[in-house]
Amino acid sequence: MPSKNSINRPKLQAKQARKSTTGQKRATKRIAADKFRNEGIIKSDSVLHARALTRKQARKNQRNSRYMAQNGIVIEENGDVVMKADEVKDIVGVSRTQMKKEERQRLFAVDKVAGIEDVLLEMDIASSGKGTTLGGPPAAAIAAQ
Amino acid sequence: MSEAQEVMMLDNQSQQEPDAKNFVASVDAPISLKYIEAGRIAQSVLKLLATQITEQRLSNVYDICRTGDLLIEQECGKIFKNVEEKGVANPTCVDVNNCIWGYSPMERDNAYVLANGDVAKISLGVHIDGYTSLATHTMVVLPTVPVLEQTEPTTGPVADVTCATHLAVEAVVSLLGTVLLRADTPSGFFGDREVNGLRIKEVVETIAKSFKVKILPGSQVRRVKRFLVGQETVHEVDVKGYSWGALSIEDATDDPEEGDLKKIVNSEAAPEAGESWVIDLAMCSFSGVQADLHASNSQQISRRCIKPHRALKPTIFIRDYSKSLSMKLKSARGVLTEIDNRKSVFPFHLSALETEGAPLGVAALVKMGILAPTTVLTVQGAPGTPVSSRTRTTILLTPSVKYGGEVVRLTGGDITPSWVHSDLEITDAEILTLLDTKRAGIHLRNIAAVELSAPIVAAAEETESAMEVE
Repeated sequence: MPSKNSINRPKLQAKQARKSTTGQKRATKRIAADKFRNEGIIKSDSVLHARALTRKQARKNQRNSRYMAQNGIVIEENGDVVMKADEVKDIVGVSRTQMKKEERQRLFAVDKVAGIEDVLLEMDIASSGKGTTLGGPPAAAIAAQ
Repeated sequence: MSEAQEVMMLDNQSQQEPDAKNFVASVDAPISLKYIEAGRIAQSVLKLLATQITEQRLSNVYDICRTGDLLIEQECGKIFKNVEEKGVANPTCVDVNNCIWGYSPMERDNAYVLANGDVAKISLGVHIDGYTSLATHTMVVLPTVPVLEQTEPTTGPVADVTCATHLAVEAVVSLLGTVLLRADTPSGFFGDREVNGLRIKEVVETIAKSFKVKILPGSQVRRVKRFLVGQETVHEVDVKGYSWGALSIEDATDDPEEGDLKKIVNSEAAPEAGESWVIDLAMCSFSGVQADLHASNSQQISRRCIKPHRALKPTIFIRDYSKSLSMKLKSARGVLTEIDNRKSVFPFHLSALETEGAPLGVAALVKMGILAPTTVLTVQGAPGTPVSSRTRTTILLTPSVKYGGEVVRLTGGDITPSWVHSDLEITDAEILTLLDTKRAGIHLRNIAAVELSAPIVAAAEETESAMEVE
């Protein structure tokens, strides 16, 4: 295995994608690519990105798409992962995590809201000519009497 | 840069923060849950401290302050694990008698010990992801009197000022709640007039007049937003409410109409559903001369009566994010890094810093204006020393399908005021409507405190010091 500084280390290829220095400029020229790499060119907002996938990632994508097709998982345009109801039970790992999360959120919400109590209608300030009194003798003192 | 610092920078640049992060849609909305949890912690810690003082377990102000801060950090660590910015929004302070702001000592040996008849104002604050609950409770301390033998309420100026502050806060809570009513009156109106900052001012000053007490600078009723709760170092825009002048010496002018704070508080804007408000009122028994009152407002103490304490140095500081300088001193750089990484945009206590040589670094940063100190302030009048009282509460004005709208009181609702009796009373019929059992028809809900176990700060530190000696 050559080290990072080895002279045998592959040089940067001319066709390989390079990061834009500004972070905004994007390549508009479609790069030459093989059948795997064609899948890596993403079209978004009518601008072609030059982010080429590696062969390894392309194989992973293919495998994932097969997996999604088998289990009825759909990725919407906004990136949300949606599962068909029938398939939820079959995908044990995902469904349990998802259900646990929802359950936690629901229980958490109920628990927190249940902690709020309606105000005790103890305060009744009225003008009686006898002044104003707040609070009262300690409950322990009342019990002792 | 943390999210809080970005919010501060945005506000300093007079840009509008997105309202989605400040609109409380309902009681069980995610934002509400953070507010409610912060309120629950603040309320629980406050109640525990008040109980410990009443039961004579805590009397040294140093112990009270450190216990409060320790508990807040401890409780915040248990919840919202994915939220990075949470914790103390206002270090625990105990201001006694004529001290009105900023007393949180650094050492136990020189700290004040509460005595019989003292009026103690316990202030603290908790924030979770910038959603803040602030609380201040005034209590009459009777540590030398066994609780069972207390047969008569406290009377005199202490009772007057305590009653006035407590009732003024309750009245403003009801008044703000009336903007949610939709049944008989148009939304935003109480009686035949609109509810806004000027109306709030009128109600508070009428109550102060009834009890013959004066309002202190620093009192304010205002809308709060995420990360923005009226920090001195932030020049906010679009602030609703009313302010009786700034508390800090640098910003304050004797004329409240000319202060910086006056210019930014819009007292004609009406409160709306979905907002959170803080009601922070401080009053004092007036014992000065006519010249000590502000000329255009006889219910407000002149700024000349507020003076910094001669012996007590500031222990609470806040970062001014509008200033950024490179520091030469190593400890100053260390402190600045720690503040930027660990502390949020809220005030912090000097003892909360872990950097070596923190006091030296803080002094350098204060000199350069990067940190703003909170001066220990006292109110002074002649003849005699006036007694001050302060009550602060945070509320949510939440829309509700069932009630049209409800007021969720995050702090201050679930705590009983001290037993006091004043010979004076409120006679204004409209204000009495706000204070009767129906509370002007609003639906009011309190956050209940939970029981916490108090860490014994004194015992723990004594053990540590004993181990060091060995």
